[in-house]
This record gives sequence, C-alpha cells and structure tokens, in this order.
Amino acid sequence: MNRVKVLSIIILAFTACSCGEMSNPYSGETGLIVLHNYISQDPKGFDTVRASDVLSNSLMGQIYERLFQYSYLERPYKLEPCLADGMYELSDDKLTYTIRIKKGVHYADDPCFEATGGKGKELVAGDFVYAWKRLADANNDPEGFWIFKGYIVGLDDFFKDSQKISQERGKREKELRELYARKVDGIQALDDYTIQFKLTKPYPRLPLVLAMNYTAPVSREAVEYYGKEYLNHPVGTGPFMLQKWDHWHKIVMERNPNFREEYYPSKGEAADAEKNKPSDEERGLLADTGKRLPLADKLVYTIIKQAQPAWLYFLNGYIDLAGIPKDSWSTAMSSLIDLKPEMKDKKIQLCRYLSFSVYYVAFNMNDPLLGYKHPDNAMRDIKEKRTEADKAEKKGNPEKAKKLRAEADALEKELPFLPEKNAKRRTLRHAMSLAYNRPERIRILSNGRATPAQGPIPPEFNFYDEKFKNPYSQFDLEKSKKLLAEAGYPGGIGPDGKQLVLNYETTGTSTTTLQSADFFRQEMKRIGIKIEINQNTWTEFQEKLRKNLAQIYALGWIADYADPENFFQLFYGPNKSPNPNNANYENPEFDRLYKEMADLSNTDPEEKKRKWDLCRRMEKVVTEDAPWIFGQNSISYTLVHSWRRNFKPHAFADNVMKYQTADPALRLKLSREWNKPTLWPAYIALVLFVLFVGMFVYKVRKQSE
Amino acid sequence: MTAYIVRRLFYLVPIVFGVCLITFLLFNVVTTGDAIAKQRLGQHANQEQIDAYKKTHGYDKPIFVRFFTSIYDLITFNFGRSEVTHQKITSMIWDGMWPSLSLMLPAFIFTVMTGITFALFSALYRNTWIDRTIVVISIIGMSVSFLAYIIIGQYVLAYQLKYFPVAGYEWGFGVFKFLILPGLIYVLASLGRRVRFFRTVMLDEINQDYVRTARAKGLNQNVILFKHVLKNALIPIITQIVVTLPFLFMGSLLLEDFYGIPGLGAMALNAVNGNDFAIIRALTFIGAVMYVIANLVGDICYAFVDPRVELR
Repeated sequence: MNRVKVLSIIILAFTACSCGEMSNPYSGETGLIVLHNYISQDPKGFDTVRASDVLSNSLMGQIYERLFQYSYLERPYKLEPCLADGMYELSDDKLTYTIRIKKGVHYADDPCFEATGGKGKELVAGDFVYAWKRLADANNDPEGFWIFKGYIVGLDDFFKDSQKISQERGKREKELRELYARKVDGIQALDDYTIQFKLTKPYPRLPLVLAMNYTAPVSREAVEYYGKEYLNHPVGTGPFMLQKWDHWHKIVMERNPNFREEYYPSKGEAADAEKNKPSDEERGLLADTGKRLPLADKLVYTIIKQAQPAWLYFLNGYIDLAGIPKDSWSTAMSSLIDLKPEMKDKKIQLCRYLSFSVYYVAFNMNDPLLGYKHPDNAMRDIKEKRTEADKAEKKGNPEKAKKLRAEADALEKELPFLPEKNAKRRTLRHAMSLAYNRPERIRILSNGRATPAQGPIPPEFNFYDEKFKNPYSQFDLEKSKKLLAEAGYPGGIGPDGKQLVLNYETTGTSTTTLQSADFFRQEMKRIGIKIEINQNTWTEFQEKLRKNLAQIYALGWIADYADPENFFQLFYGPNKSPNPNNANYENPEFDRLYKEMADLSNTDPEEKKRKWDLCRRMEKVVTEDAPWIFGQNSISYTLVHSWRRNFKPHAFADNVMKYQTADPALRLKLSREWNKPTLWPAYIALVLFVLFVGMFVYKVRKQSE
Repeated sequence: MTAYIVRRLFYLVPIVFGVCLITFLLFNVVTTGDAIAKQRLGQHANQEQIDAYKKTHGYDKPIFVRFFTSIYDLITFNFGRSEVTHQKITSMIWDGMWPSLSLMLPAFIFTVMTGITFALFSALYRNTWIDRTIVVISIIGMSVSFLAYIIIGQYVLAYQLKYFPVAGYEWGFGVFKFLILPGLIYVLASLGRRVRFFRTVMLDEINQDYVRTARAKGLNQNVILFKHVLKNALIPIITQIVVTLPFLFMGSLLLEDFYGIPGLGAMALNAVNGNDFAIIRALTFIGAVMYVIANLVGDICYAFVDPRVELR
C-alpha cells in the first residue's frame, strides 16, 4: 500500500509540474511589451570605439544615437536627422560641414552624473568632439578610426600623438588629459549646439559615417567614472538603457525615461506591382504612425550559441524572430519563397531581403602564376626595390640589399614580356571564373538563398546596374576549357607537361568554410586544374596574406554604408593588403577612376550622373581583369512570429527596436498552446522504471536468500 | 604530512612554467602580432593602426620579454583583460565558474554514487542476469556519442515532449529547471564508463581471499560489501575521481555550448576560436594549479583510506 501511495505522489507531482509550463524559460513578464530576440555570441561590450561588428552595432544602436539615422520604412535608403537638428550645411569648397544638434536631449540617468545626483545631463556638442577624439585615441584600440582617417584636419596627428602616451601610471593620466584638452582644428564645438567639421579633402560620405555607432556621442563623465569598465556600463541618449548583462546568457534593456520626443514615421514604401510587393501601409507597417517611440518597454536578447537550440526556441515561441539554419531549411520552407504549411499554421511570417553582401574567390595579384602587374607599377616597384636596397646597404645589411636587387633585376627582365604574361594570366582567371558553377554552389551550400554575383556592387544597392552581365560569371565549361588552353594550360597541363596545381587557403576551419573549399576544388577539377586545400585559422590566414603566401582564398564583404565606394575600395591599389584590398589588385586606370568617383556625392544630380558613369567603367575594368571570381550575393531570410509587429528588415539601420512592438497577450496565449507537455511517454517510462526496479529488488532479495 | 604537502605544492612551479611556455609558444610563434592586430581591428585596419595596436599591446617587444611579463602577471594573479571582449578575466572566471559547478558537481556526484552502487551489485551478482543487464546497458550507454545524447535529448525531451527548457540559464533557484536535462545527459553519457571501471575494480577485490574468509565466517553481505570491499577498492576510484575534479570547475564544453549555460567550458571554447591568448593563459594556469591540487587531495585521501600509505 505504501509503495502505491509513493507512486501516486510521484505521478501527481509530475502532472502538477507539467501544468506549470516546464519548458518555459521566462517568468514574471506581465503587463509589459517585451521584445524577445536572440543573438549567437556575447557582444564585445558597449564602447562605441569598438562597434565594428554587426552584433555590437545591433545592441549599441538601441542605447546610443548618432547625428543622422536611416529612415526606417522608406526605400531607397535615405538619411534623416537623428540628434542633428536638420541636415548639414556644406561650404562651397566642400571642405566645411556645419551641423546643429537638437536642444533638450538628455542622457539616461546614471550614477556617473554625480553633479546632478544621477540625473542624466543634457547632450552638448562637446560630447561629440570628445567621442571622436576617443575614436582617434590608439590607447582605446579603436576599430573605427578608418572612417575619419585622412579626412579630418588635425585628427591624424591626434592619432599619432596618442601612440606616444606613456604607459606609466600617473604620467599616463596626465598626458591623456593634455591630449584630450588639445584643440583639433577639424572637429570643433562652435557652441553647445553646433559642430563644425573641417576636412582635408572633400568627403561626400561623411553624413553616411555620421550615422554609424562609432560617431555616437559619449559623456566624459561616464567614461571617467567607469574607466575601463565603461564597456559594461554604456550611458547614451537612446531609447533604451542597459538593465542587465549576464555574459553568455542574456542582455536586458529597458525603456529610457529620458528619451527625447520622437514619433513613429508616417511615410513608408509604396507598392511595387512589378515585384508583387504590397505597400508598407497594406502590410500594416503604418498602423502605429504618430505614436511616441519607443513602442516597447523592454528588450531581451537571449544568447544561444548553437543554431539548433535557437531554432527550437523560436519554434516554441520563446523568441520572436529567427533566421533559418542551413540544416533546418527543409523543416521551414517548401520552396524558395514559400513556408511549409506547419509554419503557416502558426502564422509565422517570412521576410526575404537582399543583404548587400558579396561572396568572392580572390586571386592574389602578386602571384607569379595568377597575378596581374601593370608595367607602370612594375617600373615603380623596380625603382622602390633599388632605393630600399641602397638604404639596406647603407645600414650595413648587404644580404637584404642583394636580395632586393635580385628581385628588381628579375622584375626588370620580365618587364618586356609583362603585357603578354598579364594577358595569359587574365585568360587563366577567366577560365576559372567560367568553370565556377555559381547556381550549383548556391543550391548546395546556401539552400538557394543567394543570386550569382555579376560584379562588385550587389543587386538593389545604390548605383547597381541590373543590365550589367559579367561575361565571366556564367557557367560555361566548354568556353572555360578553350580559354584554359589559350592561357597555356590545355586540359590543365602546363608548358612543362605537368598538371597545373594551385593552392586554396581556407579562412577558418568551420564546416561551411571547408565545404566551400571542397566545392571549389571539385569545380576546378572538371577543367583539369588541381586545387590543394590548406586549412588555416583566421589569424594564420591573415599571416599568409601579409607574407604574400596565399594564392586563392574565398572571402565576403558586407556593406558598411549606402555608397558604392564601400565595394570599389576593395580594388583600389593603395588599399592593398593589410588594407581591405586583399587581392592586392592594382590597375592605374581603375585607381584614377576610383579617386574621381570617391569625391562625388550621391545627392547632387550632376555628380550622381557622373558617378554612375564612373561606376560602370570601373565595373567593366575590374570584371575584365578578374582579380576575383564574383561568387554570390546573399538573400537573407527572417521568420517572424505573428505577435511581433512593425518588423521591417533594414540593411544599415541598427536602431530599429524603437519602432517595433509586440502583442504580449497573443504571445502568451500561443506559446502556452504550443508548449503543453506530452505526458504519456513519461508515465510509460515511469511505470517501466518501477517495474524494472521492483523486479531487480525482488531478484536481489531472492538471490540473497 | 605538512612537509609533503609543501613539497608537492612546489611541484607547481615547473608544471605551471612548462604549461605556460607551451601555450605562449603556440599563441606567439605560430601567429604574430600583425595577424592578431588585424583580427582585433577588423578588415578596415591599415598598417598604421596595426602598428599602433602592436605598440599599445606590447607585441613590438622581444618575445622573451613578453614571455616573462606574461609569467610575472600570472604569478601575481594579474590575468588582465580579454583581448577580444576586453572584459576583466578574473570576473569572467568567477562568473563562469558557478554555472559550470552548478551543472557538473551534482551530476558528477550522482554519477559516482550510482556508478559505485551498480558496480557493487554487478560484481556481487556477477555472471547472473543482473550483472549482464548492467554490463549491456553500460556498454550501450558508452557507445552512443555524447553529441547524440545532447541533440536527441534536446529535440525529444525539451522540444517535442516539452519537459524541460530547450536551453538557457537563470541565476538563483530558477536555475533548477535548466540544469535537469543537461545534468541527466551527463549522467547517462558517463555512467556506463564509470560502472564498467568500478565493476572491474570491485571484481578484483571481491575475488580476494579475505572476502572468501569473511563469507566463510558468515559475515553479513552488506558488511562485506560496504566495510571491506568498497573501502579496499577506493584507491583506484579516488585516483579516477580526483583527475576529474578540475573539469568540474572548467565545465563541459559541449553541454554548456548547446544548453546555453554560461560556464567556463563555453568560455574556453570561445577563447580558442577567437585566439584570446589572455583567457587561454589564465585558464591553463588555473587548470594546471587545480590539477596539482586535486592530485594532492587524492594522495591525502589515500592515506585516510589505506593505513599502509604514508605521506613523507
């Protein structure tokens, strides 16, 4: 009888537990609008000088604000004032920008504001200047100084001087104080509400970079109060403030009561009949027009590193939106544009959008088998090598001098044959590009979530020409084989009678990276080229790039801002590795066009037209020279639960949470419905367990007797 | 005994030095400051920024200076900050240690206790259906991959049947529901191995003459098992347990990764992936120290369970 009672108690306890939503990871969320998001990594912190990655930006964007922001709903992407009071004023010589900031904007309350008893102080122009000086201070490991480098009067000197700061305690603080007190002519606060930029040369992209988190104002009080811990205690003027950060577990932000007056936009994207795309109004994205922002009370970011549990979390309804992991594609999608019926039953919505990125396979242009060297550049290199050799000799390093002279001589000897060699190597690159089956790669490795890339600019990006078709982006094995023979490698066999063997360097060791490498190997095998894959970690790969040891490698680029310069800079000669031009491509004609294009704005109609023409010419040069095999442009898929509202994907804006909201009652109702435990297997298991234990005890007793 | 303990603690010096040297070489010879700077500063970084980073982080100093600075920092327990996240490493370890311990310690104790119980029964009733059932189940348990337990457990028990949360963690008492499933998986995955090992040890003891004598004298089975067999079998069991102790602090790499438990296992994995030398150095140092201490604790335990062992 006692045993029966114990068993009944266990069963009752189990049933009672099951009624209390055993699988629900949250508790105590009532009466608040909470947006549940997920991230796959712990962020690097909340210091704006290190806002270089997508994740950091997506979090900082809710806490900090910038002078400008992107319009949330309007397309094409358009800048609008954020902390700025109207747009900028630009001088006739295009070298002075004057920007006024909004009055009455306050930081979130924080103990760092000791003078006001913790009440957030008013934002002034000096806070921007201070933030930009921090960005140019090498002691902060700034990851975003590149946005100002070479453009702002006096800021490069500030960066150089910051490297001379002593590391000794006491002395260091004094020197840093003096450095920050120094006037930088290029960034000045004319009064509390006016900022002026003085440029060394025209910089039409300045307004775009002023919409990036690197340029968000920070208060000196907060930085000095928290010191090195500032990265854990961000204090901004944004719609939310950091409430809790449990590393590798959860980040919680709550509404900032000091947030300035801002309202949900009234203008959205119009319908596009050609693409069968409804207007924002029809999609319900203007339902909250005129409401004060932020619409939500709280943001919760759950950190789940692995894709599988994150996906299951989403399906259970515990996070509002998610991407589709590669391995779960077939459980979510019935076709490239349609969700599975089970997903539709749950009223999950699909958002499909271009992510403005390009994936490519790069050839090292310094490589003797594949590379490209313009005769003018070769002559320049010969001269440089000889000068360096002379210097080395003077410094008493004859071996280095001898080596450099030998290199210069070899290059000089090659000079008359360079045009012919360049042509043959270019033909070899064309052959490889034609043998690369992009649609197949997209099908196998990306579940069809991409389009074959034609050139450096991704589709629908500013200055993208949809009519442009890269003649070497088509898959054509016959033509490829023909070109390979023209390049001197018929059937992949070189003039020496040996098979052409090339080295492919991986940029990491993840499964996806290795699968990509293997795909490339298989494709090249079809035309007779043998690819040897070398596995590297990211740092090993960087080291090989630096030492010029990498021959072929695959990389990607995501747009930082809405200007084609961001993609074309990847081919600009002076940007050679370790700068972003990883292929070390250098063509004087391209460089000349790039320099001209980089100074043109996107707003002035005449300049825009000229820029368009230049983009077309650069596109032609670079696709003809083929320093890359232009691979694919990704399409992103996001699934959104029905209770999440006002979600609209944006390629550049990261301060989007203030526009979004949720229906907590609907979330609660549906997640309860979806998460009722199935108890019968547990009861069966329990009965089996009891039977087994009973038998065991019985046998043991019997055996003991 | 005090002299023995002090002497054993001195062994720490060469061990820690050796371990630190190997980790330092791996991170500073295989990859250089340029590559690390480029990784930290991102794709936009130019040579000037890279040089500045190397200077502010001491990568421009000779390698032996960097090595001895690194050793000095460890001795003075100055672990510094993570090179990737810039967080204070001491805080990271302190915060990560508790989730790891809260998962591993109860699961480990339960596994050892259950393992010893099953092993005792298995040895006692050897060659009967009880023994065979335990052995077969143990072998099946050992044969299934740890990752399979994790993924199937998560999919079936958490997602399909909704008995547990899929992943997550909570500080305080709320943590209980998040730890049951990963704990259960740890027990399932490691029980078989432990039972097999403990059974072998028990069988060695149970076949000894003194057990036969005790039985012949008519001693109670429980007294034979728990007072004599278990006590004499404890030496190899302690040896196996103490080498596991450091891992209780360092956490389980896969379990923490899949179940979103913010422990040291997940932290170590991220540090390796991100080339975060500062964290790897600190964790290696702590691991080496804990390993030596655990072995010392093991030696002391030997003296308690076996009077023949003397610590000199």
